[in-house]
Amino acid sequence: MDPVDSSDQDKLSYEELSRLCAELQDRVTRGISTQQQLISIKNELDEELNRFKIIQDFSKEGLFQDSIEGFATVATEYFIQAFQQPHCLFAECREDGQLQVIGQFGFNNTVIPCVLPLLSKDLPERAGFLLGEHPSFKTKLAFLQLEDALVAPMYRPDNSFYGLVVAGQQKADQRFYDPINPKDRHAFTVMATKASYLMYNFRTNELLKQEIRERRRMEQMLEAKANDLLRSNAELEQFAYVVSHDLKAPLRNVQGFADLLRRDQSGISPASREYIEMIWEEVKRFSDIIDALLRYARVSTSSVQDMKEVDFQQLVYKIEGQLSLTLQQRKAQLQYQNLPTIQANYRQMQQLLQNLIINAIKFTPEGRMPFIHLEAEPTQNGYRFAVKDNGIGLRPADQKRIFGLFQRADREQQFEGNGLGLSICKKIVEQHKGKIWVESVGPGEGSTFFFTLPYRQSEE
Amino acid sequence: MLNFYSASNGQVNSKKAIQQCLTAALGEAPPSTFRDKMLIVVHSTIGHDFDEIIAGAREVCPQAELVGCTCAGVIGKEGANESMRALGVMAIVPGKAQEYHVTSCDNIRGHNSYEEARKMALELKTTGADINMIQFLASGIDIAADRAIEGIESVFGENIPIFGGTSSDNMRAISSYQFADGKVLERGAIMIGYSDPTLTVEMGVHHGSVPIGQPFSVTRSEGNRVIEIEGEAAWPYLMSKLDFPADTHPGPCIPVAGMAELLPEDFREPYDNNHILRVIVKVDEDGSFYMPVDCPQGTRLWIVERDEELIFGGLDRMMKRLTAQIGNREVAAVFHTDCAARGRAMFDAIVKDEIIENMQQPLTKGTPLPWLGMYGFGEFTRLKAKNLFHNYTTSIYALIRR
Repeated sequence: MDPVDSSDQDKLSYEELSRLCAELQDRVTRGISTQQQLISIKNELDEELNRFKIIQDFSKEGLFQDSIEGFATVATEYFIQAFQQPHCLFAECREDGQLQVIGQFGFNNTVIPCVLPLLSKDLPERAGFLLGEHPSFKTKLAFLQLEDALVAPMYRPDNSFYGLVVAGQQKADQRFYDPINPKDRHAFTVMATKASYLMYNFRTNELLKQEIRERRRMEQMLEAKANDLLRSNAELEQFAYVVSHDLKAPLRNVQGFADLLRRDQSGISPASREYIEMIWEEVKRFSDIIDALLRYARVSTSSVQDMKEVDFQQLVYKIEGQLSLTLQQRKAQLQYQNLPTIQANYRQMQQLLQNLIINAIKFTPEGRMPFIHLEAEPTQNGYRFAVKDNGIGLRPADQKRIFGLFQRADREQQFEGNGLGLSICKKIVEQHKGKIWVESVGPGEGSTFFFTLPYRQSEE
Repeated sequence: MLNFYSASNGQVNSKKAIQQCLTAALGEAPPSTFRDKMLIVVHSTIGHDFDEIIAGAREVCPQAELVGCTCAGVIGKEGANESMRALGVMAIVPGKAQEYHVTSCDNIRGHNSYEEARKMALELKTTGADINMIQFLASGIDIAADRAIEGIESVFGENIPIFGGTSSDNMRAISSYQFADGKVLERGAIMIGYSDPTLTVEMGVHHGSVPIGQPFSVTRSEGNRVIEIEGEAAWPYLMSKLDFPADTHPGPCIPVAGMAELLPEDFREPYDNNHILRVIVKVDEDGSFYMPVDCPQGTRLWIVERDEELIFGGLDRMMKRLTAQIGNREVAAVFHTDCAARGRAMFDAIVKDEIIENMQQPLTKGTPLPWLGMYGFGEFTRLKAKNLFHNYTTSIYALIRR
């Protein structure tokens, strides 16, 4: 066996060791680079997560803006935060198709027109894209002086073009800002979609708010007019009441003196006697009108709060007694049964039914036996009463008119009356939140007067 | 007595950002404080509009003096934020006496760091003879930090505690900015002298890296400029060892191109490490690079790698030492400087948040403290009664009521 040259062996080992050392160091440094790359990947994921949080925050804050400018400011700030770009621009497509700038961030030294020289057809892609990838489109936005940017069109829920959002960097920014990562296109599109929904909601809400404001304004106007009308009606009624009441006193004097003249006719010529009789008749008619007017006015001035349970069966029975003489004279037949008990103003109900029954008798031609049938039928909200007669009937044209003041169905004035009875009825029913109307097949066919009364009167 | 109020946010509108910060910070102070004379220390990331920050602060606090610098991220009681537009403030409101003194310079560089720092220190000394600690915020791109410390110590002596850091950008190592006297500076420095007799400062510093492989020898240098390593152009040599192209800009290399240098024996135990780290943020065309401190010929430099156990374990040990130093005394406020590379460049969000939590929790004990920190290019932290400049560390400065 040859002797081993230990120095040679040491030398070899040292070289080998150095080589291994260098290789080890190389591997370690490469390991550091790999570790660094892993951290970069992890950071990218962290950034994505953070971006997701920012989009969530944007969704919340974007909802609560008072103006579209406020919304656009918030939107641009969130885009800046999410994509770490120094400039952002937000434009909305107007009805005329023009893109109006509604918000911008960071373009302090750049002149931006109010309306972008762009139309939806100029957009190279439907999803988000990089400005640098489309030189012709970049030229259209040259005034923004952006070297590169993320661009995303926005669409309404019906897929119509709604606007544009741009976030990017100018040349000077590239000193500190990393180049735009093409991978951000997707997230940018997602955020732009979110922004478009928020903007659409904002605009829709704005329209709704405007409509509500307009409705409120109209309602207030109507309410004011209704109040004016009520006030003027009340004043008018008060005036009518006062006038009627004040006219009544001198008229009573005239009527008294006419009575005296009627009773003591000594020394009065037959012609004068006839005149006195005419005066007496006219004064009575005048007095009847004033009485009716006073009743009409009292319906308004009397309190609807004075409500109590009214037994209509009993009430009609009472009226039948009061009108017994008239009924007998005309051989009239009054039929009624199972009438309900409802909360109402007793005196007004008495007047209402009395007027309708008297009318039924009055407007039945002499020689015909009046037949009056009264019934009540429950409905969803209250009772519907019907007072049916076999009188002269009504032409369709008269059926609404006759409820007006001083309106008469009998234009030839064959029947006595002052044209106030049905006005009073209408007023009473309306005071009770009901309706009154008449149905008649035609002249000579009789009429049915309907009125409704709710089950209970609300307390107002 | 100085009172401290802090806040931070990620609001992108610079004016809104500063105004919201100040409103949030001073929200705890009496309402009239907004009109008081005060000092506002600002840390901002590079994306903000600095003029807007200054204008916004003036609107809210018209009597305030605003100083500060840019950084790669802000650390507040609210947590860390490394976005392009992050902002943090510490509002320092004095009592009746003049308890803080501020000066600045607009051109501090490697070659004049001693002179500029001395000039500033002299200026402070004339207004505040009783200054008992100094906060120093300087440009981080081209500074000889050890010379700057010497400049300050030449006026205040070696016993003056110096804390602070150097400004940074977003790890690109292109430019960083400082704010002083309503101006934005690019190569400036701010020096704040505190003379509140009720305050003292306790500091902690730690990094979690270990050297790997064989060291390289500096074979030619001038001051803090390293010209050659192992007889070759320094930067290309280092890049070849890291498997990077020779013309790589130092910015992207910061997380991996840290250089370790042996610490004197006395400092190793309190530092929890045998090596102190150096960052390279400036490279000349001839392939020489600049260290933040002198690097004489013969200096041995190691490539380093971080050690997770050392990072977390060392941080706990540092906080234990710091809390022991503080004892039962009240913490008035905390300033904090972390190396920019200890942010997202080196740690993911979870690890980073855990590190910050592990620092804040032992001091705050559940009640948030005024806290202003930044990710900068370097840290001024006193170690074993000596002011030193560090890189790649977490450095914490707790202002304590005596």
